[in-house]
Amino acid sequence: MDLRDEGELIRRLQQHDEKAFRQCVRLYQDKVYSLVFRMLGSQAEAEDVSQEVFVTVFKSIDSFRGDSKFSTWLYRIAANHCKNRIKYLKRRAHKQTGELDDAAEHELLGSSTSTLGQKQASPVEALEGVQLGSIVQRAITKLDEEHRLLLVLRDVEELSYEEIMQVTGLAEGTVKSRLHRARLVLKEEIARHTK
Amino acid sequence: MSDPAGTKHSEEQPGDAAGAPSSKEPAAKEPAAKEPAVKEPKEEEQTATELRSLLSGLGNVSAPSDLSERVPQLIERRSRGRFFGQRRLHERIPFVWVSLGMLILSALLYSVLRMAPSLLSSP
Repeated sequence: MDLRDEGELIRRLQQHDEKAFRQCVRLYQDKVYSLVFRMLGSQAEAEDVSQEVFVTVFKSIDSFRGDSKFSTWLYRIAANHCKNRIKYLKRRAHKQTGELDDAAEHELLGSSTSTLGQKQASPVEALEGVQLGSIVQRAITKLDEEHRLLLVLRDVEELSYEEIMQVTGLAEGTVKSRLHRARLVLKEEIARHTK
Repeated sequence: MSDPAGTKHSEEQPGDAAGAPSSKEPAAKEPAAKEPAVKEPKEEEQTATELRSLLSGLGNVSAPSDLSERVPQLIERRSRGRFFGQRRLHERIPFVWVSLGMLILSALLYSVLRMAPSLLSSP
């Protein structure tokens, strides 16, 4: 979407235009859902939080001044919702960290076969992909929320440092050093799971 | 991928560690202090590359196809129909007021019809 289109979409969103809102959801739902799913590791939670993200977009679109890209603003909302949900789940002592639900495993199966098997993945390769994907996802959910967010934004969603700074409100040096730390912790976690 | 801040951070640690005992032997210290400084960024870069390929290999998961339907419904429900109300015509009409209006209209019609013969015959 070019800038003019985005500006037009935002203008219509600010007028609470339903068509524009539906278009906005369709345009950004995969980005939002992907980030939320990687952060929470559960399909049910990801669906619920993604909905809440778009409801917040609808409620606070008037406060969007266009200082950053709309997608960056959207990521910021999604990140805040994820952090809140993680805290809420921790408070409820939810057994989310160690276990991925069946739906999440299924989701991982879909994503890893499609990405690993650029030609045609054999069943064994697909299974290995699923196992690896599930190990990595489990390891991600073991990280604390700040590390998790940086890692997902940079290495999964492939955002630039500039965008990550806008989403998190952290300085560049802080982003880089925390990201480095997050990668080390993740590497250790993956190694522990694969042993 | 290069990670300058992370690199600095990791470079400082070996430098500091090597710095303390080396104050007595400055000549022997130099190569030992430089070695990890050269290795660390490579290791870090390797870790970053490995993890990035692993994580990007996870791919993007797609949102449920009906999300764009569910969200407006949720907003409609929460706003009690103020936003995105897709109610049908019969749901929008306030039947109490329509019934009352019809009753008044009928009463008026009735009274007009009752008065009509007298009105017609009066002059």
